[in-house]
Amino acid sequence: MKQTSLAILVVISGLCLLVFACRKELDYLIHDRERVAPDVMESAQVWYLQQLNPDPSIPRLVPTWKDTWSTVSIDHGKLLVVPAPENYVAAKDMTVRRFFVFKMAGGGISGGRIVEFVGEGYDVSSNIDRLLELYRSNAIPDFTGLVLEYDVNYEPLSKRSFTDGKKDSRDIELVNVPVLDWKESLGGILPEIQFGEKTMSKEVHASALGCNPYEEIYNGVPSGLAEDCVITFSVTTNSYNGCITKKTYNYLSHSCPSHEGSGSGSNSGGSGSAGGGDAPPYGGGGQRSAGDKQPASTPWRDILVDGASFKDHLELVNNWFLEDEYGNNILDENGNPIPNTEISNCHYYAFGPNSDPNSYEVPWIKYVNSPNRSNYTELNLSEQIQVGDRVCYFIWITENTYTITHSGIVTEVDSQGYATKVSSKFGPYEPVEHHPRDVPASYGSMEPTVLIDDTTRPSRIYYRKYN
Amino acid sequence: MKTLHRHLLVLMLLGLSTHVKGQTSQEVINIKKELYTLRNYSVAFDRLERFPKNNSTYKVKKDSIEELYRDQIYKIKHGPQRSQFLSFLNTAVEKDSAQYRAFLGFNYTYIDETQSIRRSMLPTLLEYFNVVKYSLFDQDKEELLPPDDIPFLRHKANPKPKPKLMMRTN
Repeated sequence: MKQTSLAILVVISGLCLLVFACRKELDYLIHDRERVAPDVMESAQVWYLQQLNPDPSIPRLVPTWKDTWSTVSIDHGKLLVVPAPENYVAAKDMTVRRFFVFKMAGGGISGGRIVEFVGEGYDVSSNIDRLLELYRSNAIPDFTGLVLEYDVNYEPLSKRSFTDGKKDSRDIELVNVPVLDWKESLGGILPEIQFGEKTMSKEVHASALGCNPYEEIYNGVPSGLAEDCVITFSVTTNSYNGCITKKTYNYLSHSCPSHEGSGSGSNSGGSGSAGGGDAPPYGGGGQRSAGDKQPASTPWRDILVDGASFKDHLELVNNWFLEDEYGNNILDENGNPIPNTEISNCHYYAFGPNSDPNSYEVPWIKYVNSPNRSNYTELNLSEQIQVGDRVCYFIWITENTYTITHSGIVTEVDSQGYATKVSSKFGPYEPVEHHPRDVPASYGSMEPTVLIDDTTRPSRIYYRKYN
Repeated sequence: MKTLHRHLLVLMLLGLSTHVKGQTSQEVINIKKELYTLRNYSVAFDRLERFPKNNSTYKVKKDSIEELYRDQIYKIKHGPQRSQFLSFLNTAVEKDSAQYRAFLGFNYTYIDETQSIRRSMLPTLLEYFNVVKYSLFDQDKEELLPPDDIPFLRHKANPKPKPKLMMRTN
């Protein structure tokens, strides 16, 4: 009897050991995942290291290579999936998971990026295989939320929003807002009502002329966050007829470099770290991004939504032809208008004259169509910005053709070397100061980079004058 | 008798040409001023047309500019100086065309000045005079037709900044 019991015990223990030893294989089996061959894994690691921004001071999202598996995406072929560290998500009805996804081709790796799934009332963790299979599709059954894609340096590439399984046109994004910036945007005071998971509304300035003032609504921000914490919000912008009608900031999580995070609520799953952990916050931005960060507010971008509205908010000191005080053309002795050679634009203001005769049209030599960057060197993404550096704004037509839509001079940087203020001329209008990302949408994306024809291109490039 | 008729005809033509030539003084300057005023109203009206129509502040502004714009059109097309305007425009787009061709950037619809649009992609002063003649007199319209509807200006209807080819390696 004793021997039988002992044998049963040994068998059970053996089974337990077997299950424990093969837990990963069982997991693969249950989820229909495939183990990755060592040489493919090595290729992915090499490719990843080649793409990484070399600046060691930049916090980065590190792949958890030991948990790698492979799967097949409907629209993207065979993929190698590597989990990334997670943060706590305090919002009760939201779940977030993020992964490195490498595209496998010909026994090697042909590309890779970070994919972040944000579920709104949808359990991302329980459906992760389905999401990875369909994340490039325009329909993911039952899914409501966001699919955000970044390069391996966690720089944003694209975002897509879904409602009830179908791709929609909601204007929704994850935004990381430092508490200090948020406080400044509220006039230096954080009223008690903002905390304790209550809703706080703030009426902001009028949007474009012809639009009514809109509200910013903050939901669920916990109390007691230190000024050096960064809050991750899911921001939904509602617009009607080109006017912003409401911006809703739903608290998602936070991270505090000098404190243990106080995020309560559900962990997103995976190898999570608490709010104060090393993992960068969701929404990207953990890496240094093109010398500037997401501002707490964008007053100019909100007001100057259309070229036609500029005239109502900015002073036009010089027009193309000389005018009297009533705006009538001053004429020469033949009754012809007299060109105003003093009119200048952003490129001239930031970079000075351009001697290339193709860059201007006589007699308006101070209105240059492209900035003269010959005396400047381009700064890479990891370099700290200094006062006096210049910045150019790009819109890409194809992966190899672009227009430089705007230029400015950096007039203020923060202690980490991010540009916080730029002086520039919006067209021929008077110079104004603004956050580097707070420019009219016609000048390009607020994100540091854009994805064009599957290639990442910069939205802004900073330049420094040669010594 | 026949010779007399010929002489009278020559004298009449001479008189007419003197009249047109006479416009190159203060009268022509005044006519040009009125045409520039029309352009300013046209640009201002087109700008306000781009705002949401349900905004009351803009509606008042737009109505006021529209009235000025329509009045100016009426003054040029139906006013007592109609023949002088027409005569000037005929001369400007033909005999005097060379002197007006050099004036770039005479758009009469709103242009987003914040974009780096080359002035040569906008109508010249000659083309503007041609637009006035074509819209108000040739086509008998009560407004300046948009560039899209004008055969000789269609190529300048949607000016855009000229893209550059990337020279960078990354």
